[in-house]
Amino acid sequence: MLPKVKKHFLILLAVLVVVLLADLLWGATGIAFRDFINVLISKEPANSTYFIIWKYRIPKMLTALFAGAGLAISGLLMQTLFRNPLAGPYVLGISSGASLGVSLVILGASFLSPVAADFFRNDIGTGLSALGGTFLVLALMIWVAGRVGGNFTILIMGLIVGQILGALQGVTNFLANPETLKEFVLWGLGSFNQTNMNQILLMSAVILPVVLFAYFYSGKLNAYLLGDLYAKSLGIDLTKFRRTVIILAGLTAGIITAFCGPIAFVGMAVPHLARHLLKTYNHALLIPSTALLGAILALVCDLISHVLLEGYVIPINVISAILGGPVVVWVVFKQRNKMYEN
Amino acid sequence: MKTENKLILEQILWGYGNNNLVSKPVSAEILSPAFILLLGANGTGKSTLLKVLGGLINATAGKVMFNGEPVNKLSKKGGFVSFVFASRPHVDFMKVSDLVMSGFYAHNNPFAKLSRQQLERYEFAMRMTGITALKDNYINKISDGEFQKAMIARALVQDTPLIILDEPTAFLDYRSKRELFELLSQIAKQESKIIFASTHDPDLAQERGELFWLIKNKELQVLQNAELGNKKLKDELI
Repeated sequence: MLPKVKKHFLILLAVLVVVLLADLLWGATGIAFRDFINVLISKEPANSTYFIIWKYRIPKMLTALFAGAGLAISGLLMQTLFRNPLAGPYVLGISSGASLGVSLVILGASFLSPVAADFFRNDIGTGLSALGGTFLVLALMIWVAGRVGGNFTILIMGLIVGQILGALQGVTNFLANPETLKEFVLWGLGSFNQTNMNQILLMSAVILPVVLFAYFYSGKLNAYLLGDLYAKSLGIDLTKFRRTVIILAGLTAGIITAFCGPIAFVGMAVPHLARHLLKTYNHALLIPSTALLGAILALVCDLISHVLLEGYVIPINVISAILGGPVVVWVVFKQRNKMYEN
Repeated sequence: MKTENKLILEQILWGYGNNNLVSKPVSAEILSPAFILLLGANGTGKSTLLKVLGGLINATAGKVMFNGEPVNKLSKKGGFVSFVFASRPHVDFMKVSDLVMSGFYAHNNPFAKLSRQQLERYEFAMRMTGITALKDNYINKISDGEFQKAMIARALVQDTPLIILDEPTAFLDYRSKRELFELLSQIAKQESKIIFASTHDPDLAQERGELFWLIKNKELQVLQNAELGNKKLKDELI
């Protein structure tokens, strides 16, 4: 590895450690570093600091870490698949599928007896319904990818499916009572602090293998950048390649959306930051740096959402859109300049 | 001694769906070394034929065999054909050297270091196409002609027994065009390769080429340069 690239990775790792610590120590209540260490080494759940660290801060920190890294990788894979800098984890309608799943279950539960409703509306129920919606959309997209020649068709199909599902969701919103509607709207604003340890384990069990697999897939991803025909002439099976990428990116986006809601902009913006920071197209470098930057950005968003207004946790999407939006705008302007150049 | 390569076309037709671009099946046997220039008006199916020969799309009838194996099977493995297409892909932050070295993908895993032999091949390809000085430039910032040279260098780096170039001279200046045809015929001979290139430049083709395939009136015509005598290749096209 080039020394300059090595330096960038070291800096990213250092920044990650700093934001990890900041996310643990800084919040509605500040925690002194010494107290934090004490909590980590002592085993007694004696004080409130112990409770805050283990029951609240560590789960939300881990959630932000995995969700940020996973969404960024999912976005990178989609941008490569469509060779389009504006693609993101949700271009295939995955967030719409997850949202519809959640709103159907939340709405359906409101018609059930209180006991049955509780069963569907707990954290697992929301997660499962989002996953169900995701898998339906994913299955449809994999089916489409096997049947059409170009990835442009897949992109259009994804957008249309997203629109249709969005319209169906409009129906459920219309039928819902104000309370369930609010519940759903809050889910849609995204959060990293609604997860328990089991969900975090499940998330990491999907995201870590995906990142690893994508890393070893770098050669194919790089070869694919030059276009379908060049990739095919190198012996890459395009249908299999598209399916693989859709599954990797879709599973990751789906599991994160299920537990954190649809998180805006991280997946679209971070790969650009990584490309421009390392000045590379090479996925063997982009994948680790995108994962690191995604985690950092998600943790920073989480931190801001907890400390900006005293006594309130601002929804993640408000923060990520304000931080990520300008990056996307910058990409659009850059693209425009490129078009004029040629 | 380089091994001999053989490309066989058995009664093939090409086109899309039921719409064949040739009216009767074509058969041919090509032994390396061979440098074949493909000529014909727009829309006569030159690009389609080239893709069929390289196994990227199937012939609508008949089959194409390379060294005894069907090309559409070989293309799934990679490493038997390298292509240069006329289109220009945009990849941010890819340098000319990255693009050319990406030709090694077919034989290598991307995490391995290049061997000394491969480095020598890379330097040879850069030198032969005259783009050594451009190696650190981003491919999005070079001219169309320079990009085309980089893609040709990439094909040389791939070092496959079959090389197919779709209008490789489209953006080149006159001198570079002549040098390219010279280079391709030289490579074909020295390394016992089969090289196909389509072109819209009959005068230059006649000056530098040996064997021509003409597509005219939905038929494929094979011409030797020596047979032409005083006739002009461009007159044969009309």
